[in-house]
Amino acid sequence: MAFLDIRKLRKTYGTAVALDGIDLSVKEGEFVTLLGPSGSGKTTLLMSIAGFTRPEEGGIVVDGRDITDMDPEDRDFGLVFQGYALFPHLSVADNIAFPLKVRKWEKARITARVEEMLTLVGLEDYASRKPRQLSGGQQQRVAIARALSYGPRILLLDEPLSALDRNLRESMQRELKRLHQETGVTFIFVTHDQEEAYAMSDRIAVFQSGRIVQVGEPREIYTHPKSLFVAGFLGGNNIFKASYSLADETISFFGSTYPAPPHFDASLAGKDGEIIGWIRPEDISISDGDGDGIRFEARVIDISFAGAAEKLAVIAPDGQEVGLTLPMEATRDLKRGATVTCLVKPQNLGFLAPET
Amino acid sequence: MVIKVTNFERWAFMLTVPAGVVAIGLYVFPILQVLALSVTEPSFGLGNYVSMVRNPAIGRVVRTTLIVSAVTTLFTIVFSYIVAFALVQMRPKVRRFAMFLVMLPFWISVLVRAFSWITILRRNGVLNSALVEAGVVNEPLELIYNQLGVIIGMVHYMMPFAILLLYANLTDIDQRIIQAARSLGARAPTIFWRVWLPLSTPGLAIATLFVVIFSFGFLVTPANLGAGRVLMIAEYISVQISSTLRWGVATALSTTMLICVAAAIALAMRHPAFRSAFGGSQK
Repeated sequence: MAFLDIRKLRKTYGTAVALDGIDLSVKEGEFVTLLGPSGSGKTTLLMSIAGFTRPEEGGIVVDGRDITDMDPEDRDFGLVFQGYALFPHLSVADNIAFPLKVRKWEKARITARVEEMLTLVGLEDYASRKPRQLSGGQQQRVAIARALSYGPRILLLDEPLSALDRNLRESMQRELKRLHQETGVTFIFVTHDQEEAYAMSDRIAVFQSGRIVQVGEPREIYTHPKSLFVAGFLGGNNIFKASYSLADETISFFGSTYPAPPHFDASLAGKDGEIIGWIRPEDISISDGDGDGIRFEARVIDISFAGAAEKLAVIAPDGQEVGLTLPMEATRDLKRGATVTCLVKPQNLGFLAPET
Repeated sequence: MVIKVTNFERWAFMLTVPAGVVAIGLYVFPILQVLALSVTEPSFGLGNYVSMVRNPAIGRVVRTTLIVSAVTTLFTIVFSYIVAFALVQMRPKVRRFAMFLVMLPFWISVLVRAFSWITILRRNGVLNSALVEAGVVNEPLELIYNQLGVIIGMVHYMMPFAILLLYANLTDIDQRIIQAARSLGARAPTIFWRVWLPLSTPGLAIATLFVVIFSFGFLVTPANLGAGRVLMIAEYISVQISSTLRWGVATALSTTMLICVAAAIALAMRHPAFRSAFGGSQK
């Protein structure tokens, strides 16, 4: 049985449905990310687990114990807020000691634990500082240390890195991963940033309008999106219209017709054969004539430098736009307006049912 | 250093000039005149100040003023904090109605309010009649024409101001900090003493300062509810000016009070809580 079990959770605000029957099981020590656009219900679910939001239906069970109606102060979970929510009038050490004093720990034990937590997050020299004297990243570390100090079994994190700049965010991601491994605490992490989700999670639950539309390991979600929404939300994906012909088992898109690849599932196609295809931008290469696979001619409409790679936007003969991510040397001689031959391996093509 | 002033800033500054002129002409200048009177009337010198210090009657007035102001401030702040705290916790609809009740006294003249309190608190007033009739007390209570009556009236007058000042401060407190305290396992009493109260010090500071200063110079309520038996500085000054015509003593007393209040504010502003209450940074 799962450590944290969420069953049929439902929550509405007036006519808006925030949670529309959420089911989710989390193993002890797992790092699960709730990923979705804003308003998709991921924060509502997190706050329901924390106890600040009362679901109308369904239940939350932790370690076999139903906690659905338990007050947040009794749940013993750690919660890290988006804006850190540190106590501005208390020093770093007192912030971390707060939950320990509430639990009436002995003085010596509190001092020792505060020291231990400060070391864990690398803030040994900042014990007597006030939160406002710290940078955003340091404040975030204090918030995490405070939420972990009393040894909660679950740590809930609500977009904790969204206020940090890019470099800091990446180092905090590594830090969170390390903390997760060192403490063995179950992490439930909310974000709208897919890269953040990929970088840290054991599993990702993708949210859309109050439902979890796909749960899986990062690689699985990336390579096998189950719906148009997931394929589109996980950024950068090329999504295009295609049509399938049952009679000769071919698929037409980008102005050409190709034999349907072996992994193609004909049942996905609509009644007139319409289907949605997707290709990762990094799975398309530019061919100088040779190479097997699916080929199509396209006109370059934009080339932009993106650091390690070059981003190319091309337009296919049927007018659909396609994005490519190419190594720098591949684009050296390309100019806007040039015509290129694009090459895709059939196994890299994905297909989804058209949204009804 | 050359500071570039935009046209907008220049116009904005010009718009404040009339108010500045009026303030200086009708306020600062007359006050300076009053200050001058205290050393020139009836004869040049510090005679007024000397007699002020030596006069035991003035000593009593000052003592009464200090006691009444201190007690008024204490009760006003405690009661107002309770109301402001409750306002913050209310649902928006209820809060709008409660806010209306808080503001209601602003539309009633302070004189009318004083007379209303007399009707309620005097020996055969509404409250005493009810208490005697219900058998709670045998004799009517002395609720008015003493310090108690003055304090009741003053607390009532000050509370809306203090409530609004405290409410503004309390709504500034990030609700997530309170939620964080709950998520860390703190229960309501702990959260109140360890989080709400420390975070409301700027509001408490500014409200206290406001009520103390207002109480010091309060005239109408003490004069009516004290009926001459609770003589406070403002009433004493007023009597000196309009009845006994001892302008020298009155202006000397006014000057002393002005300096004391200014000193109190200057001292208070050294404290970070006050600086942040006045919008300065806490850094």
